[in-house]
Formats: sequence, structure tokens, C-alpha cells
Amino acid sequence: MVGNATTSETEKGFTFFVPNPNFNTSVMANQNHREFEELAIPHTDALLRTALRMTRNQSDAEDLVQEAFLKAYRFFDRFERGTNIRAWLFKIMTNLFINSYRNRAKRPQETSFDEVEENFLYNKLAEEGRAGTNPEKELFDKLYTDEVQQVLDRLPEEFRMVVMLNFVEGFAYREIAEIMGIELGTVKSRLHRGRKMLQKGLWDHAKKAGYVKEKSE
Amino acid sequence: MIDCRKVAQHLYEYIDREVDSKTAAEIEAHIKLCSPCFKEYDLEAKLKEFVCRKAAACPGTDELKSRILEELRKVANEPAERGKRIWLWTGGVAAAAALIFLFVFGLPHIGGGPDPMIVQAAAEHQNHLVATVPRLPEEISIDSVNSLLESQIGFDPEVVYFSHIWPQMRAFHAATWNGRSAACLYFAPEGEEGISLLICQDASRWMPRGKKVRRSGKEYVMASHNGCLMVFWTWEGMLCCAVGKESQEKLLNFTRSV
Repeated sequence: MVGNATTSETEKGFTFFVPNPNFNTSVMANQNHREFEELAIPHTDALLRTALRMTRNQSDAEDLVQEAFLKAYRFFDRFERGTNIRAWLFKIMTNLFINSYRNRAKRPQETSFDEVEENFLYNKLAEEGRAGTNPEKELFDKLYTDEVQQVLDRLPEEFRMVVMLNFVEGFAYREIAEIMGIELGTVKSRLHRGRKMLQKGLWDHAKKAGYVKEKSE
Repeated sequence: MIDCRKVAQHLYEYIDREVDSKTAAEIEAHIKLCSPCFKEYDLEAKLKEFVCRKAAACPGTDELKSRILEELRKVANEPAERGKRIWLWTGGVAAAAALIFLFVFGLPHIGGGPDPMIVQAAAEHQNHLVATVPRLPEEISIDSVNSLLESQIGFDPEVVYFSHIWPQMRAFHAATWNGRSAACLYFAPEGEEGISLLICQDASRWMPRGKKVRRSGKEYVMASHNGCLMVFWTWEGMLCCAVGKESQEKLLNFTRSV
């Protein structure tokens, strides 16, 4: 960012490096402002729906998104043009959430998901002899949006976040690794376990709501 | 030929489009013929699509968007007020220059007030620096500094040596120095006086301790290393640095040699 600072020389041969406080008032700042609005604001919906699953609270989620935008705006001159702004915004929001919102977040009871077996849902549906065509259709048709969201909200945070970033936001594994600051292998294993938890969560919810019955019952 | 075990192993990655095209083609061919594998795949793929559809539902954001735009405009207008202090700032630079000369050379010829030569030279030499941090981030984390360095000066973010003293960092200043990447980090370790300077350039590091000087209520730090002399001071939370021309050449030679 040329022009963000000033170098001045004196006859005594000293060079001064000092930040230029006038920088932000330049024409560039106005262009930046417009560019930011055009590039970043369209991602509000995506940021908010993920923020809702992170904070599990409407007003915290809105605050988180707003704060993430302000932060991104402040650091916009460091955003590399031509790279993925969506991933950049999500990274900023995720960092902000981890650093300052996580403790505020209301914690509904997180279900313990020890040892969910592989192919959980498949086996459950098969047990009922429903493994024909579209055995899942009946189950999926009955579940309401807010029920699915509740099930998601009960997943432990680290699994919930990778599931949101991959399933809903469509980020590739390496993008998620970058956004959350974790290893690629960790993304894979969390997504794997997250899926199993999701299956069990959905099944348990459906059972409780009477949408499905266990064969043994 | 790929077997059921291997399909199960890569199923999620296949659904998430994270396998290479060869493996993808093998899995595709397998599940076309193998009914149990296909059913597994089909259920998992549908589950993903189903959860995505349900969780993608988002309440309206029009109100939030206009609130954010309003906040952004507020922030955008703030620096204009800062700009009015340009003369105050220039005066500060001249005064600092005077103090440094006095200190270094003991020359008594510097007067007060903004030095027109400095202002003039400032306009002509903007290209020397590519980056400064105009304001300290509220919470400084290694991540934020890394991404700053990485995006601004292409600095390898793995080269942060000072994580253990990071909490004491007060300011930093990223720049190119005669075309070389450099970052000055200002530390004020508790109970210790002084400054640490880090020149990051191709993973080399350079970290002298400085001598603290107080003049007219303002603190300056003189640091020297390999015969290079630098004077630092902070201004509005930022690190300012003055380098003698001779020292600058030495510094350049130093960074070339590593």
C-alpha cells in the first residue's frame, strides 16, 4: 500500500519512517469504501446463517456479523484482490467468534455423542425394513427446518462449525482448515464424526417426536 | 479395481468432491454396480443435501445490512478528523528530528515548527515504504499479524520467532526496506526497558536491545546492531523509526549477506 506512510530525508542524512495519518482521507479510501460495499456486503446472508449456528442466538449472531464486517473493513487494504473474499470474511468472523463470542454464547445442552457407529442412519432405516427405495424420504419429509437447526445446535461446537462450513457454505477442506486454523486431517475427521453425530441427532429427535419408531419398541 | 472397503473409506470425500478425478471415476463405476454401496452413498448424499437446505434458511438481513452500511460510513468518516492533525503531526516529526540530532550529534542548529524540507521530501519519497499499520488492532494475535504480513509484504507467516514474548508487543511496523521485506516490532517487556527490533527477511532475524532516552517528556530508544544506528519513538501508538543514511547502507549490506 504505497502512500500509507511517509519517508522524509533531511540534509543530515537521516531518513524518517513515520506512519501517515492523512492516508485514510485520500481518494483511495473512497474507492476502497465502495469496493468493500460491493464485494463484502452481498455475503451478509451467508455470514449470518453461520453466525446463528455459532452463537445460537439471534442478537449475538447479528452483532458478530456486524463486528466482523467492521473488522474486515479496517483491514481491507490487506485483503489480496482477486482471492476469495468469502473465505476471508469467514476467517475473520470465525476468529472473532473464537476470541470474543464463544464464552458469551448461550450453551444449550450439547448432546454427548460417544461412539456413534458407522452408517448409523442407514442401519436404523434398514432395521425397520425400510431400506427399499427412498427409505429416508419419510424421515426427511417430517422434519421441520427449526428441528434440523436445533439438532445442529446440539452438536459440539467444533463439529458444528465444520459441518456448517462444508455442508452449507460449501467450503473445500483446505479452505475450512485455513478459516478455522486447524489441520486438513482434523477437518476430515471432524466432518466424519460430525456426520455421524448429525445422523444420531436427527434419528433421536425423530424418535422423540414420534416420527419414527425403533423396531425393538 | 476398487473394493467396497475402499469406497466406504473415501465415501465422504467423494461426496464432498475432495478426491482426485481418478478415484472419483473408480468410485462412480463401483457404486453403479454395487447396490449396498450405492444405497450408502445415496443416503449420505441426500442427508448432506437435506441438512444444507434446512440450515441454509436464513432470516431476513435487510435491516442488518443497512445497519452495517451505516456503521461503515461512520468509520469511513472518522479519519477525516485525524487528517486535520497533519500539521500537529508534522510538527511532532520535526521536533523529534531536532531531538534526535541533538542527541546524536549534539548539533544546536535545529529550530521548532514544521520543517518545509521534511514536508517536501516526504512527498517525494513515498515509495520507500509499502506498509504501516495505521492503528493497532484491538486484540493483537499472532494470526492477525501473520495475515497482515503475509498479505502486505508477502512475508512467510511461519517465520514468527517471538510468540513467547508476543503479549508484550506494543506496536509493529511492516515495511519494505530498499525493496526488502522488513518488519519492526516494538516490545516493551515488563520490568525491562528497551526496544526490540526484528527485521524479517528471508527468515533472518535481527534483534538489538535499545537504550532508552527521555527528552521533553518523550521517550526515544536508540538501538544499534552491526554498526547500524536507529532511533525509535512511539507516536499515537505507532512505532516511528529514524535511520541514519550510513546505517541504512550497512543495514542493506547486512540483509544482503544473510
